[in-house]
Amino acid sequence: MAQFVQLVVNGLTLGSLYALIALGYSLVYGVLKLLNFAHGEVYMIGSFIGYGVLQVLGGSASPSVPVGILLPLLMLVAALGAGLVGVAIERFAYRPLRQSPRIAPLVSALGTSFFLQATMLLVVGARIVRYESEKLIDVSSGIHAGVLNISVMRMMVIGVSAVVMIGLNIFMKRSKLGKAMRATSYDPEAAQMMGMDVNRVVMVTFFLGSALAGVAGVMSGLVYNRVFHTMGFVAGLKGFTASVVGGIGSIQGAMAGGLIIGFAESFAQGYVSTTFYDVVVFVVLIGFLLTRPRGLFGVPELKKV
Amino acid sequence: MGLLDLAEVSLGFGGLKVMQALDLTVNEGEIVAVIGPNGAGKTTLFNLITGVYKPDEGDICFDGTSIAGIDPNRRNDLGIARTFQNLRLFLNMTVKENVLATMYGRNTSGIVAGALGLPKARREEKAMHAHAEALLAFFGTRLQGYRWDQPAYSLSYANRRRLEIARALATRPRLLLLDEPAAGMNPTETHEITELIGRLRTELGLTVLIIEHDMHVVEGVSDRVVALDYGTKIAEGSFDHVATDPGVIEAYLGKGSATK
Amino acid sequence: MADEDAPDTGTRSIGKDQWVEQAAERIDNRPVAKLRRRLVQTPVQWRVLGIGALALLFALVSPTDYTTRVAFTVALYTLLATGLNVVVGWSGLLDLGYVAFFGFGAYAYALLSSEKFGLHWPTLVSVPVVVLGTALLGFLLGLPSRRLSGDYLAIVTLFFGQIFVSIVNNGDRLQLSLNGHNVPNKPFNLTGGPNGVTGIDPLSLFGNKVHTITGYYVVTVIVAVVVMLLLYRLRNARSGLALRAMREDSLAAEILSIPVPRLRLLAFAIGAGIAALAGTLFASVQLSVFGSNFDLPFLVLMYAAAILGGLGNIGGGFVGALIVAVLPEMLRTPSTGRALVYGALVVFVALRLRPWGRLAQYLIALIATGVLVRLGLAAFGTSIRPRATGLAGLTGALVPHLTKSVSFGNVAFLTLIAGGLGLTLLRPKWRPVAAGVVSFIGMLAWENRLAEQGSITRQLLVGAALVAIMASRPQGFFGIKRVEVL
Repeated sequence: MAQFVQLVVNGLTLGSLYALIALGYSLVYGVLKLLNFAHGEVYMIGSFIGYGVLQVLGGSASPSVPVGILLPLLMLVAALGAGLVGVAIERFAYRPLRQSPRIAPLVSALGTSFFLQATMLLVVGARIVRYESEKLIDVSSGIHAGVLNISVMRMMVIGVSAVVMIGLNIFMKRSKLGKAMRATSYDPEAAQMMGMDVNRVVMVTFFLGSALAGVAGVMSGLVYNRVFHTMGFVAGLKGFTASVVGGIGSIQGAMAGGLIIGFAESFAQGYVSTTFYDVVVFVVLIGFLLTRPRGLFGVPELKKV
Repeated sequence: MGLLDLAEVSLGFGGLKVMQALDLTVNEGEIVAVIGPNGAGKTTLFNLITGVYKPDEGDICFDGTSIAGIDPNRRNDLGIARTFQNLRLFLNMTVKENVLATMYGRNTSGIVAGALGLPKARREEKAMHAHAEALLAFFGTRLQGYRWDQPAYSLSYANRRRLEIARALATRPRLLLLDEPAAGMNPTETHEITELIGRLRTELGLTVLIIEHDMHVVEGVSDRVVALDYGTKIAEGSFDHVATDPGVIEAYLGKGSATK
Repeated sequence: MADEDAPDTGTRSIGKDQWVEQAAERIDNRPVAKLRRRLVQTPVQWRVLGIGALALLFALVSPTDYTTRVAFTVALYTLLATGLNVVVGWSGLLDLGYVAFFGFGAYAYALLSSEKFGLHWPTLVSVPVVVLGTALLGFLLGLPSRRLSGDYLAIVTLFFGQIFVSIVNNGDRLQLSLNGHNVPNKPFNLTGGPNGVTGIDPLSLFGNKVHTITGYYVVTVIVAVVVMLLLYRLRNARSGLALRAMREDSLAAEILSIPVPRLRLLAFAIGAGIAALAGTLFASVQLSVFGSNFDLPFLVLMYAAAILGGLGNIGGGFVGALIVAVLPEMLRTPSTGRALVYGALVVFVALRLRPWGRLAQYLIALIATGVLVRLGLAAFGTSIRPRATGLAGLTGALVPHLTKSVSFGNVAFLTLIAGGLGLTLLRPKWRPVAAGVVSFIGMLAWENRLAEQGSITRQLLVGAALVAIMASRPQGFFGIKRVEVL
């Protein structure tokens, strides 16, 4: 029972991070019908930015600002930085290809992803850097009630993700830009003719999605304490899988998909194999594609003839 | 029992009913025209017959057997081919390759035979090339000579429409569905295409179902005309009968037009 | 006013209109154009055979084992890029698990013909078995995606590649802990994990064991040529035409008799089979295989090879392979790398910065930036490393090389990225000046950081090349431009 509860907590933490990454894929896919394969690298860069800011502010051992301010600050700067990287990726790797066949942006994304990884390899090296968050927050703090053990860090991850997602939902439903994003996703040409600046909408979309990935990067650095230049690949893959499982293009889907993948991975680690849990996630993906190819919340696409 | 029978076929997208209990029969050797205002469900009808969409209700029979559940390429094997209103040629392949490619279903040599150039594959390819040349010759001088090896995207609009027909014919169909074959053509070309559709029946023995907006073409080729509106049949019969039907005029010109 | 538009008849013997009229003819008569025309008129089969013959000749004249090894790499990459071309170029399927098939072939051969399990299947049995087996695997992987659009296919295959690497790297202790019970009891060692599989049998053809790199080179060239010829035949046969039609318009193809789902699987299987064939060659020449041979960087490299040469045409794979295999060798040592980088810069400047006025602007900006950077460095009292002689000394005269250069080089590199991207946004009028500034920053980054990091520089170049070529020339260097309806 204790193990089960622990796996649920792990799955929830992991799932929250995957959901944040998945949102980036879904937002961009929703607006541009484009798979931003470089999204995982944005997450990686976000994590490094958070680390950099942490070092500038004195490191985990002796931070120059209180922890209560430090953590939000890390996330904010990482969100901003990652958002800008995302906007740059869109501007230089995708925008010139908007009128190209679908395969072109995918290849371009592959190249971007590779380039970003190599850049971080050059600048930071092949080592694993650590946030050393245990020095920021006592590991033993948190809720410990019977079988339930949940550290403050994990509570923060789950809480922040929930708040961000609720905020995003409200933004998409209520704000003018959110509505413009949804309109663009239905028909970019019509949206343009109705006076919307599609380029601006796309830019905002990329900024938002990438900022979420940046936040996820920082939180992952805090919880898992491992930041390295290839971390974006697998995380991106899982986030992408989450968005497919949830129904790509759908915000609720990304959240649900993230949790499903998080739980699948956590339970697979606990009950099947500590090394081959990726296979389980892969099987979940294949299963979904076979039975519900549009995912949980996806709508069937109309074939145009 | 005709060559093609649609019985009570319905189709909806979400709440929108695009086809409502449509009955339609096309007899062997007939040329039937489908008319109706934009959005009446004409192209949807073609999509249902060729298998792009599966009907929600009702049945589609070809030559007495139900085809409502089978894949598009199997329907083609049975003898249904079509052209597309908005032209869907294999643009980066040559004119001849466009025609050769769709002979796939009528030939059998596999990839090993093809890669190794086994005698059987070579014989088959030779026959395919001869057939393709004969098909392209069907359009007079339009798709001849140097044009064989030009990419399809270099063709004029009218020639693309012709190539669409040639490509459909390459599958050796019994029933040919033509989706606005004269759209975008000038009067001379329209006249040519009208003649050509007649020749499809007389020379190739085809049954033709045609969607067309140009009433000269409809009048010129069709044995029977079916008018659709909002996914239902509003009139059927000879051209003169349908053209003067008040319901049809109303569908085209709006309520009250027929009485004026 | 009209006179200003009139041609300057004093210096040119014909009028401008006439000159324009004859432009096409003049281009036609250039030696390069004539050669090109001659080349285009030669049947593809002869071209492939010709290049193959030249490649075999190289085996005789190759000065060292090192050069033969590089040539072998080119041949192997050609084979791989050609296979990838069938899947991506003809059929339009984004197969991101391609390298996993290559790895699967290599590992399958390694397990069937090595000390690992004491199986020593003869080459002529194990290679066909591995190729067919991998083709079958490709077929199976395609099954869940056969009804799905390209995007989903991409994710399934990418994930598959990741799973393959993960299984191979952890395959030395195969064990499931099902609800606390370990199955099997003792971990089973299938792949050797990070230690890979070693002691693989060399190829053995008709009783002759292939031992030398020259031997492997010859075998690989012959295999590549045969595969290319077979594929060219297939391209214009019934199935090849259908595959290409499927890429052009899968819906129209399906309605007109082409069984699209089945052909997708077929394309996958062909690609997987060719990759596996390359895998067996790779395993046998290395005599060992490791999981790290088959991860993402290699996938990107193969895509670069297939795309740079031009997707869809048979010879494209060779051109791309030549670029991606020889480039890293040149970047291996700073001196050849330097020649490559500065050579490329000079060629680019000579081609793009005309007339002289723009070139002058560029050079002035370049030198001015150099002077400013020097002054700045002097003001901070930074020490500059003395330079060697030769080309290094020549560039050292202009480009400061700092003693403690790592972070300086990193900053220069990041500035280079920002500057290079910004350059594309500028108005043409300002580009020569900006290009001069960016060039100098690039030299700084190169001299202080990139030159010593050949393998990272290669990654950066490959990544940037993929992005740039998609934006400017998606058909690759030698492909034919495609027309797409969106």
